[in-house]
Amino acid sequence: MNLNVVISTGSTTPIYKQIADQVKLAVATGRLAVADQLPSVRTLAESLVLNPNTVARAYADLARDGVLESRPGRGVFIIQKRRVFAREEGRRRLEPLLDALLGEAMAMDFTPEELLAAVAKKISQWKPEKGAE
Amino acid sequence: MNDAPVIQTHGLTRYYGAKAVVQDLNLEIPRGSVFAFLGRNGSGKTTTIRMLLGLLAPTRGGGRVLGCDIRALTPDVRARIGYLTEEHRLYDWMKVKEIGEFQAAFYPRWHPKIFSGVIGHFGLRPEARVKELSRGQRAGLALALTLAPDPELLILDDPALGLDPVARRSLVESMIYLTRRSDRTIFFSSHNLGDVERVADQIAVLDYSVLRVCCSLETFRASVQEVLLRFAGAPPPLPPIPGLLQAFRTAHELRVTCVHYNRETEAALRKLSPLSLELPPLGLEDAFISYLGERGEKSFILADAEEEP
Amino acid sequence: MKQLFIKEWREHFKAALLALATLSLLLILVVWNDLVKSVVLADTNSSLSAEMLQPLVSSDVLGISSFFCAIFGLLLGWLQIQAEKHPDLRAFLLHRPVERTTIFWSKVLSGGALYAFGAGVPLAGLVIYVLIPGHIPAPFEWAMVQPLTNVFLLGLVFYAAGLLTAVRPVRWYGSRVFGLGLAFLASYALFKWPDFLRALATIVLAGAILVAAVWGAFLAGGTWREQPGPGKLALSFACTVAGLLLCLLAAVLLMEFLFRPFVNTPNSFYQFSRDGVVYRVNPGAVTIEDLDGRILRDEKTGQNLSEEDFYKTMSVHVSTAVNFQRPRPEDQLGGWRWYCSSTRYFIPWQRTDKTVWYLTRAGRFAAYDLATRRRVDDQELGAGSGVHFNWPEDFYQNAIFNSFSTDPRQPRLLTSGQTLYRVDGADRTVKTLLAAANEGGLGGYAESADQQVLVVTRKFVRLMNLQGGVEFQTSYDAVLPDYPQITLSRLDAANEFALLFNPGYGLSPKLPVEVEWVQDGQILRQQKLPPLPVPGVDPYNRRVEECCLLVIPTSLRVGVEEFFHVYYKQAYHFDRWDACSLIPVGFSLLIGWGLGRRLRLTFREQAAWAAFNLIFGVGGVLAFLSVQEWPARERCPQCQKLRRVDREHCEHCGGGFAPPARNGTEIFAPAPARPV
Repeated sequence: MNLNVVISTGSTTPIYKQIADQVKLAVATGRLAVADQLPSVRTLAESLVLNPNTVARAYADLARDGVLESRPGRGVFIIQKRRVFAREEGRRRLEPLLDALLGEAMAMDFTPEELLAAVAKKISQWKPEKGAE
Repeated sequence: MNDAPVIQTHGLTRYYGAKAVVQDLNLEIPRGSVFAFLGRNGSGKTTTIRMLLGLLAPTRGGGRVLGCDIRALTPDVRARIGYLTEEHRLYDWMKVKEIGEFQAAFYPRWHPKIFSGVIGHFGLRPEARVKELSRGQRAGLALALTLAPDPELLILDDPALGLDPVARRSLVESMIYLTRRSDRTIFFSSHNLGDVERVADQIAVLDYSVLRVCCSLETFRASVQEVLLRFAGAPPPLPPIPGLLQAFRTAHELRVTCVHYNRETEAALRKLSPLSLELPPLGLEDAFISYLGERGEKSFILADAEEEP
Repeated sequence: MKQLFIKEWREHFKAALLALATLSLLLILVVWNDLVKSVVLADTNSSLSAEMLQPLVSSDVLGISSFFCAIFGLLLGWLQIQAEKHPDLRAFLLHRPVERTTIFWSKVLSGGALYAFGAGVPLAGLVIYVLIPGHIPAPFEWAMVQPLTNVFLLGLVFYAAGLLTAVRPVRWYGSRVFGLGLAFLASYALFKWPDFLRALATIVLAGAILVAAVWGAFLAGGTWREQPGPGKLALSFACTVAGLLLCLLAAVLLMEFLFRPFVNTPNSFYQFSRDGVVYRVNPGAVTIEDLDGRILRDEKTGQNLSEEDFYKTMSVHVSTAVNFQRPRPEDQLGGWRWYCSSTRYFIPWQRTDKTVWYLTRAGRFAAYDLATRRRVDDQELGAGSGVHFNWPEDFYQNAIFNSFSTDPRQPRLLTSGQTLYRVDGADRTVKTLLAAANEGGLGGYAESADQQVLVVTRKFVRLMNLQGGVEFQTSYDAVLPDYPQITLSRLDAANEFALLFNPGYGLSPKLPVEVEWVQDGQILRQQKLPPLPVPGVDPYNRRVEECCLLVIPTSLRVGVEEFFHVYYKQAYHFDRWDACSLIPVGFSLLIGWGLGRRLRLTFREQAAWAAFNLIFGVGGVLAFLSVQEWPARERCPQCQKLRRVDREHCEHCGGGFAPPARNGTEIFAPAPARPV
């Protein structure tokens, strides 16, 4: 598999969230495809030198978000993304990320037009791998 | 497999002279957890650990370890507890091999493979004398001696003190290896917050002899919040805030760290009429340092006046 | 257990080896030196010394061995504990699935083995050296090994004291040393009652108490409260002994440096000049007076006549003590000195060429060649002469007090109490000088410088020559025990002698000194001279001395005096000093009670300490101070009084302790259930 998780301690992001974010990023960029198998909780924990509970929590969050699924006896697999969030919830979760993006861009003196163009370009780079919606 | 806590203390207290170094400690460590015991130097962590192992008599109070009273630990219970001391002191004149044989003679369940495995992992020759070993190698040897009897409860007193990063990493790996079995518990004290963040489930914090935190790592992280207030001019004096840890004042900003941030705290802070109030995320290490540091307002060490051009 | 023993052995083996080397070296040096000297001195006229010839009775060897064994034992014990003082190393030792008592015994047993190695091997080597013929030119008996054995075993008591010194983590460093008190007391008891069984009992008792104290402290990690009962008792006892010894030491030092009750002026004595005039010599003031009290002066210089000048005019005299009883030899010399002296086994009798003759206690003459150092001859004393001796009663009067041989080559005198013999080793002859059986036996004899013998029987005082001829004889009515000393002086006039009868030491201020002038066997004149004062303690200083000794608690005073009354048959009565010693005991009880209340001891503990203080007085209080811990005190939240911090409930109101104040930053959350 192509999963390469790097975690850092002392960061403002909890470790389990770093793992979950990196898995989500891998799925979004296509490094992980649907039906790919992820390492077991214990394997990943030992390779990252982490408490297995942390990895377990990351996987639990990913499962709740519909990114992966644990099949007993067989392992953990990436699944077809299901919409598990109501749109409203989704927008709420997007807000802080937009704030961060806009804040950075404004600080670097990007105009709104330049920013929108950059976002569109990014989406087009991703869109072929992403599939429908 | 019983679910009783492996370590339980009630009112554990220890005085040195007139000063209490551990006050009224009530701790419960559940089976199967990786429990980190934190606190500044001299806050009583080593004293607590020594009391738990029956090496130091409590002034008051008591506890139970693996169901056995700490004042009267039986040999059977001791066989199930592994203890790694801070300085890993061993008999200097023995060889690595000899000290392994020495220790093996005492434990009914001794796993030579674990011993030689850990020894090999740290790169120790069996013929080397203990006094020739570096600090990290000695820690590895002590760890091997502690892990080989396959203890149910592993108590580590600041095991990574003075170790180089490679040795430290090996140590953490060994701890994770131990968590393979869900009935194995690790209780350790440490100053290395990175390792704590990696490996601990639960933490407890001794604030100069008093226990003030006992919760999961996530609860701790969620309970400590930083608040950033921006002002047009100089920030006003800070009113008493419940749960205030630290406040840091600069020319136009007030950075406040507190626990249990809630609506009342927010209301109290908004009364200062800041231009903006933000809640930046806080890393675990910074949260620890805020929690363990001196309470109250502080600024950088040197006075501002000296920096005038 | 075995592993721990081996580990302790290996850990301290080097120290034991060093001790072995040191003691061996010391013993070799001493023995070699003595042997060389004895061979070298064989050519001179100096008298033979049993100590030089037989190392096992040499006071040098015994002295070195006893100091060494004590110090080595002490250091070894201290080292065994101190080496593991670091808390982490101690934790490594103690945190293992073995009972702490087992760990303790492994340490002690290995310590004993190390001690036996370090101190025992050299001593055993010495004994073997003596055993093998050709090394020591003196008789050997297995009983000679006893003093060395005692000294060796006493070292084990010091070993236990060393352990105790290191094992207690007390702040008052002085109280650490208290373990030594019992060791010193055991040494003293050994000194007083050295015979083997009693010595063994002393050592076992002292050792057991100290080991029990160490065991208790080891188990409890040094605290007092957590110790098992026997440990507490043993430790209290050991500390009490030390406390008492400390008080005694303080009292003695006070007496010695402050009050000086011990007066050292030597006695005055009477002395005849060659023309029969009696003078009184005062060595302290260095004056010589005549009977009218006039001080003699040197005619030339006008100064007081010096002793050397007076002695030129002095008559030749010879003195003897007179005693018709058979006191025990050990009473004559006392305890350890008798026990270790060679006279228990043999007396170096005479030397002929390179051969040394010994009179052994089997009543035999044994000859050893100084060159080959082997026994060359062995004969029954006076074979065929019908002479038979009881050892040691028959010998105590002889060689110890009255032999005066300037030349060890000369034959010497020997008495059996009934007969006086002259024994010649060279031709193995025994010649009877005087058979006194029908005169009531011999009371005493002494050889003079000019080869004459003063012999006292119940009926006569005689001066005889070595062939048996009588040069002077006068009748004598034994006035014992009041006059146990007789001095005979030869005067210038023909056949004139002066006899002086001295009263006993304790009676001398009361009884006069009796003097007789005798010529041709007739008493010319008799005179009573005023008694001479006994040097001793000024009554005022005696009171001071008694006051200082009041630190000894009443129970011990009475106990000891009762013991002497029974054992030595000395008179005993309860005097006012014994009653006064109740005062410090009373103070000790009060102080002990007060301290106990300060510590808020339970009633049972108070009672136990009160019993201790009653019996042991000041020593008990010192022990109390050194063993008790003084926990901090804080104000009780309920009743506001000071209370001990190490009790769950307040002594006054029974309330508990308040939990520490919260400061609003606590984060407590119960542990969640074990996650996925």
